[in-house]
Amino acid sequence: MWKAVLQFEGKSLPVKFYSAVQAQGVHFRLLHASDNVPVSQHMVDAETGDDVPRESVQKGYAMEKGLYVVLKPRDLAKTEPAASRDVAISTFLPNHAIAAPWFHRPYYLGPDGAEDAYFALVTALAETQTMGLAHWVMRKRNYHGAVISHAGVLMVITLRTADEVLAVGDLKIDNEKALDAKEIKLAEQLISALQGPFEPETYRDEYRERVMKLVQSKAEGKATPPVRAKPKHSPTSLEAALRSSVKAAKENKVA
Amino acid sequence: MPRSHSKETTREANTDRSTATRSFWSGTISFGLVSVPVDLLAANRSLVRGLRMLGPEGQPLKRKYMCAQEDDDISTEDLVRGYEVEPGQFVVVTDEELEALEPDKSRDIDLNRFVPKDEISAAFFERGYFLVPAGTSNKAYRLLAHTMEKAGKVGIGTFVMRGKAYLMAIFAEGGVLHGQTLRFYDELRKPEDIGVTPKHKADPKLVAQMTKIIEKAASDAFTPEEIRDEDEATVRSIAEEKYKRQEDVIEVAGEEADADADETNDSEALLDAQEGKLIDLMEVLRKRLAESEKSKRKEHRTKAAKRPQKAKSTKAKQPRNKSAKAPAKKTTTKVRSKRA
Repeated sequence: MWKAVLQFEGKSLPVKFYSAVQAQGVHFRLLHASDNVPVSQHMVDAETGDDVPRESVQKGYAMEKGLYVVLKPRDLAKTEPAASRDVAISTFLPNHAIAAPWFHRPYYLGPDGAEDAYFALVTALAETQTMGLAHWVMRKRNYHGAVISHAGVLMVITLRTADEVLAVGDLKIDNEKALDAKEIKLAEQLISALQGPFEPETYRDEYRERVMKLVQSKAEGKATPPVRAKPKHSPTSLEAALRSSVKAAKENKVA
Repeated sequence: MPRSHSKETTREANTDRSTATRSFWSGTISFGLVSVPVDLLAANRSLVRGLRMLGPEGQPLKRKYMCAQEDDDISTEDLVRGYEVEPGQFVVVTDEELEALEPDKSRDIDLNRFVPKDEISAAFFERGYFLVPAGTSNKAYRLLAHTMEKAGKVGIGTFVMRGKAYLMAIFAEGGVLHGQTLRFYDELRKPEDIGVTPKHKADPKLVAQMTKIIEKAASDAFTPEEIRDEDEATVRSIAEEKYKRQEDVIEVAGEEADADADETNDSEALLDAQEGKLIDLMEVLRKRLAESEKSKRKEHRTKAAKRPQKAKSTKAKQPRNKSAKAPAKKTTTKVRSKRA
């Protein structure tokens, strides 16, 4: 938890940062096959293979290939932005003004006193369908983020920088041949048969669950025979595939 | 925590890194019984600050795995994957075992639900991808993109890639499909988990005040230029100053480009361990698109002569680059991709 103050249009709103993500992945360690002992990573001289202790490792900034400027700790210290608790909102944008690949990590912003103003901002963001574009310094780094209303509270999602997001504005798919009207109709029917709300809770990481089950049964000394599902049959033409899909989807909906 | 500093030790030394991205992954979008072969290309790259680790005399370094007990180098073939069931006690899991757990159609992104475009909270967004048509015909791809866009819908599906299951939202924009991996529901905490109770009733007068403030400071469009990496810019300017003074400048003779200096991506990154090469995204895209255009024309010709050819394009496509091996093997991508 980290204490901060939202600043916007001359207003200040104290908040507390909490990570909104809890990793659920299966974490494996790397072991040496001969004795099952975890291995450690070392830095070695690329040429001689000699171990180089962490303390004597230097950081080089590449000016060009093979040409480095060594940045000493005092140089790196100069790159650190001044510490501050301010999270400054520069503007408010429509909710979908920022494309999905920009979003990086979400943090909850809990109220730190001033609850009335806090929940008023939550409600106002939700009602106006906007988000605040915020800028702040945390852990000796500059951050940018989007302040949104999420699940009835405030959340800030860090944004990747322009260098980290590839924009392919002029990407065009060749479409000299027109799509078939009948197929479009069927595709529309299929989408409408499969439409519904976004229900994130209905998706489970079943693969992760299977991996954990395997680990557990191996720990108990049990063998696990792999089971594979049978592949389904594919129909032969685009139109026929759409037709059977629409039929199947509709039957599914009724059932 | 974002921008974890734990991996900042080795940085990409390639100065032309702006165009570099990982090799792509091939799979199939299943839209009902229609198969749409696609290649996934990363739309995100990890933050790269041009820092590289050097030895005390400025010699280039590389990472090596060592066994604590034998104090010996270990080649990647001698590494296995272990899950710590109790402190110091590991269950070894092999690639084959993991592979067997993969769903049979792990390379299928099965779009079994279409949701309103604006319904997915950005809190779920994890990583972005471009989905470009692969295979001999882009007709099914275009049909799907066109219909989704017209309907204002986003497709949701799951698939397995490189030893991890993903939930993906597929957006259609300008006839192009974009994929966005989503966090699973249990990976996102609830406000209650951090001790915040969402209060439903806010004072309407205060809300009106806030709304006025928001409207006053509102703008319509996002200017990506505003979101620069200031920290990288500062590092660069300090390095440039020192370079001008010729202070602490080191020349590494005969250095290979990106030799072992590119392991900054986490395991989620699109990284082809078998090939491990960097591919220019734009180049790949252009090539792909040109190819699909060419093969389409070719298909057009063959179709005129031989009718049944048409069926091919909609058949469930087998993973194309078998040589790139199954994705389950990549739980340890970071190690396996190391070129010693």
